[in-house]
Amino acid sequence: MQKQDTKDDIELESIDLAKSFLAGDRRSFDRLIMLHKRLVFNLCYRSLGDYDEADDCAQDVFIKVSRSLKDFRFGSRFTTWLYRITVNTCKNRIGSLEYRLRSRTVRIDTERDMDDKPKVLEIENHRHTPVVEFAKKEIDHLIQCAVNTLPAKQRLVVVLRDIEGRSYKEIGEIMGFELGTVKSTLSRAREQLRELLKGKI
Amino acid sequence: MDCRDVKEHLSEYVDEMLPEKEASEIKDHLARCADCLGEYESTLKIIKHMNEMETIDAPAEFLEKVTARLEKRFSFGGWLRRLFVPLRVKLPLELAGIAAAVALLVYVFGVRDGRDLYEVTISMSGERGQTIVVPEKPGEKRDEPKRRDKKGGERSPSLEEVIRAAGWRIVSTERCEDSNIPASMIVELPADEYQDLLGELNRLGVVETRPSPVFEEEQDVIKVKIVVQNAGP
Repeated sequence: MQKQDTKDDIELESIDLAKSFLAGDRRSFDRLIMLHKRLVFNLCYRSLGDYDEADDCAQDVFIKVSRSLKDFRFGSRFTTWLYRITVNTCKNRIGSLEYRLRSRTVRIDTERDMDDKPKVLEIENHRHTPVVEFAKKEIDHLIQCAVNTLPAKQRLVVVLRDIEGRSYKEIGEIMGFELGTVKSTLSRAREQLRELLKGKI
Repeated sequence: MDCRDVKEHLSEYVDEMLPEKEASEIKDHLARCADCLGEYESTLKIIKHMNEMETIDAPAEFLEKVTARLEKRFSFGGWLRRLFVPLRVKLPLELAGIAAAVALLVYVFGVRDGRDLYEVTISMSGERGQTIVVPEKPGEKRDEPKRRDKKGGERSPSLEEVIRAAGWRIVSTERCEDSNIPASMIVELPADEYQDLLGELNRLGVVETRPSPVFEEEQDVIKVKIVVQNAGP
């Protein structure tokens, strides 16, 4: 209940700041960034799995927000609208990111499955990846690496649902999916993660 | 419900998104199928871990980076947007621009030309019906109008003849419809011969001077409009 109240407060404050920015107060946009940067950045990071990419992507999101705010329908939910922009920006990046990330990955597992195909989970070898110091962080890292292997839509849906805790309905609004598509996409993503993380966590 | 059906709906089951009947069937299946139960528990574990994943925040200088990019966009975009301002703003601006351009052209060609043409009114009257009024040169003492009696004398040279004899150029002449006597003419002459023009006109009749034009220093050629009043017979 308290969490809902906080969400509503953020929503109301966002609307006020957005209106103020549109009325010409540029400082309101700074406050809007401060209010949402954590949310936007985390979604970018969890969807892209790379800190620097997430940094660029999250910046792009706020640039787009500043440009599109005049088209925002104030009857709708600001956070959902912000998530939609974030998700679309991430989706565009994932496509161009795959090649770049492939060049800097190392294998952590050479286990072979029954068909003798390499059954590997690849970990990105990046200086900004949260350091694997504790067991929890190690699991976080393994999950993140598994998420990174999912197709873009599955990745975004599972991040929105299982990391960001969004409802099916809201995910549908953010992704532009019917409820059935949200369910099936999430189901495939979870099944894939189960396979990838079997015996590792 | 078999294992394949259960796996297909496991995700919705975990999120309690299934109708009660289907949820109950899955629950029964999990109670007796270790393999599917393992899948279920594994799913729950992954979701729990994901729920508890650390929230990664933006770097400390994130706001500055976005602000710098926005500033760049505002300054460039502001310049760019001015090219695409709405018509309701752009049209009046364009009209104002055209008006300014026209005003400039009028100034350059019209006013400048007006400066060159010293539109002075000269009246000619007297016994030949000629009073000549010419502008007074700045600083010049106003001469008493001279009156010359031409009656009985030999034919006085006409205004046009005097002008031509002095070597000045008659640019245009307007004549009275009935008498063909000049009503006005525009004469072009060197600026420093203005006094000579006044002298010649004085010899032709009564000359009334009026406030004189101020010649610009670099101006070497001037145009004087001579208006002949009472020029009828």
